[in-house]
Amino acid sequence: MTQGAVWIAYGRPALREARKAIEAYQEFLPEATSVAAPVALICEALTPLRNVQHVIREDISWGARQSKVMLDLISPFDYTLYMDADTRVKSPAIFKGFEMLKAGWDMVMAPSYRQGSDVFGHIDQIERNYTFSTLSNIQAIQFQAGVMWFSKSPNVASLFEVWRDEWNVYKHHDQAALARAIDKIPVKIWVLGKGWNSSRGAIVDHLFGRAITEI
Amino acid sequence: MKVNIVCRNFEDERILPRFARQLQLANGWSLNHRAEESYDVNYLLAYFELQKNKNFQGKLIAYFTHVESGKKEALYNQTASLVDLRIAMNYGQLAHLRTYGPSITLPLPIDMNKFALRSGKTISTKPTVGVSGYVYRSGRKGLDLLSAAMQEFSTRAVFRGSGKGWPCPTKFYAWKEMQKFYQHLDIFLCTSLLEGGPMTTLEALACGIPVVIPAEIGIHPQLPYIPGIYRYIAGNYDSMASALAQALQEVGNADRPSLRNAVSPHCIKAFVDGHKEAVDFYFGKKSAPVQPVVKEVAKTVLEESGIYIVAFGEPARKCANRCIRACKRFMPNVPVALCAVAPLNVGEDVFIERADTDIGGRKAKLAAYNLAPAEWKYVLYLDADTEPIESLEFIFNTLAKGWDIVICRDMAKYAVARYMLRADNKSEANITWNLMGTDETMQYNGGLFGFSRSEETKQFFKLWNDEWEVYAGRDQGALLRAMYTQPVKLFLLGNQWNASDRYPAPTVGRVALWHHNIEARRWAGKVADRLDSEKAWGMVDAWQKQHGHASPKDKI
Repeated sequence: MTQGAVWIAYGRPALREARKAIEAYQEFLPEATSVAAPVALICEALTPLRNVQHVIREDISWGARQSKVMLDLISPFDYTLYMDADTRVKSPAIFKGFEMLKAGWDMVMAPSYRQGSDVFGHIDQIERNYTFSTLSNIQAIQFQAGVMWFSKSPNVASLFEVWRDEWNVYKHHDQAALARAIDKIPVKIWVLGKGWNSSRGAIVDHLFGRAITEI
Repeated sequence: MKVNIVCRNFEDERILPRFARQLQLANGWSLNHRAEESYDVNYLLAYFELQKNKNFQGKLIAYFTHVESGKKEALYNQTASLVDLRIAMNYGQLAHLRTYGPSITLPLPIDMNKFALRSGKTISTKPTVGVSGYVYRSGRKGLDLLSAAMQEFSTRAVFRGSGKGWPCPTKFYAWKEMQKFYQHLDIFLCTSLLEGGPMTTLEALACGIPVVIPAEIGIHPQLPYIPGIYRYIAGNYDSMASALAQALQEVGNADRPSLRNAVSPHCIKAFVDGHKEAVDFYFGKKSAPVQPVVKEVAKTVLEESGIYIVAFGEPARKCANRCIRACKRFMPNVPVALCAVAPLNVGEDVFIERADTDIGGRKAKLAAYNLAPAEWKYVLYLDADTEPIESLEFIFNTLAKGWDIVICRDMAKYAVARYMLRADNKSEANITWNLMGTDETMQYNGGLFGFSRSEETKQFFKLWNDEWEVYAGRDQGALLRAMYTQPVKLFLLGNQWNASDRYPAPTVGRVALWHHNIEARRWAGKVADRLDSEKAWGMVDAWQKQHGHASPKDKI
């Protein structure tokens, strides 16, 4: 069974961020595995990045979300860690996520910091209302899929299939579509704390666009 | 429904008169200085209006801002005992008010148009820190904290006040100009020791201003935990200085739209609509007072569902009495099973006799899979000291859709496994963290959970029990170890479905179930041993003698 980390980057700003994200991740890789290239980059053309497996495909969707909701099909790994391009790994604990998958969990994620009445606050009003009308309970915990591990289990395949369908309704952000998909397809999700995916998180610092202003 | 708002100074530009006028304008209610019998309901805005209306005989609602000690506290409680509906300014007051009868809380009326986002002004080398309000003789505004901060931070910040009585340069702003005060600040500081809101924190946030606030005060526990909202321990200067220092350090990074969004539940429309719905619900036509979140549950699902409650010891039995009655009130079609040494006969449909073997009733709790009636495919377990205040039937629906377990995340204070550590469980905490490979993983509150029957959940419960038997203490670490070892399809809910009244209320959403932690205990202090040990039973004996109860060996 293979395992590895995957980034998606289309366009120069995203590629620049992905390069930094991959370098931050590779800092924590043991040398032997680094050579084995357990890192993949989904992009539109080859880049000079070394020790990175390139997965070339077209994607003209907003924020390359189409590729994200197809990750179960595109990722070259059996156990995948996906991270947004504006994430920075801060701790070797990052590799523990793979162990959680091997323990039998389908997916591993942290909650979004937007919950309850603030949930989906960044999503367009129309999609937000549509989501509220479809969820069985709007006060369920919602997840932030900018950092996630997943296996290629049948459960995950079903979830991604519905995630794609739901994302195709509005073709914009992926989070509300994921919530609608999870509501329909129960999967085994091991839930992490915010340190794994948050602004200044101790394990993964998710810049949430902060990178652009800090350059 | 004819409603009269009672407000002695409703013409003034103060907070409560503004509330009163907003309700009058939006809901068409009357507004007077005294209660009048020609109305269906009179609304005391706020509780102290009882003083001038003590002999009023009709239906009353009262608004409760905050409780102060002394005469005001007596008046607060007197009003709470006399009125028909209590409306609290924040969640924190509800646990107390609810002991008098129906009590709710509603969003606060922030004028989001008036308090618009601050424009993109650059931050000067000495950011401006603002305080706001009228300083009272009671000392509740925390002047000493501000004075100390002005000394320590004088080289790093400029302090400015609005209102009256602050030790820093202070200007009085008329209400129509109030937003300008916030929009010129870089940081808002609240030094209060006691508040109902305060509205000032919400107004500052609406303008996108980072806030440094006492964590436990007023509505602050209900604010989301996001960057730019810096919390400190109320009245503790060191804690406040640390929060303020961090705020000053990060002042250039403020995400103003996010800070504004943190206030979004609080707007005039939510305030006035909530009042109207509450009045209709409690005094007129019956409709849900807040947005419904429970979708219809199929009859066939309910026919295969049940609630399982465990109660050992006199305090737990008293709690179970309340819990079972509440279950029957809000979920009359769902059978309830009580596991105890003797029935309560307060509405339970099934009695499961079980010996009293550990002082916390954990063995019976973790045996839920085996002890709950086998014909129940979907089981909701409730700690005896929980109290549903609305239907929880959607949990059965969720299980019927294919989820194995439904449970709530733990309170913010115990959000992740790192916070499970106590003086008496270091070994267990370490074993738990080592198994999972991290202490930064979500922690769950086992006071409420639902499960559907399957081989996986059966195995999970076996593991939970086995893991608990290792230490026989709290069940939370064992829950994490069992769940990690036996992955399940876990549907995770927010705290509002299991809200402790000992800790800050959930930051969002309406509470559906209160958890009166500790009320069911029949011992005092830390056991520091297995809950089935001689030492543990000795502590129960001592407690029961002190409280005049029968020995635990008498079993009831």
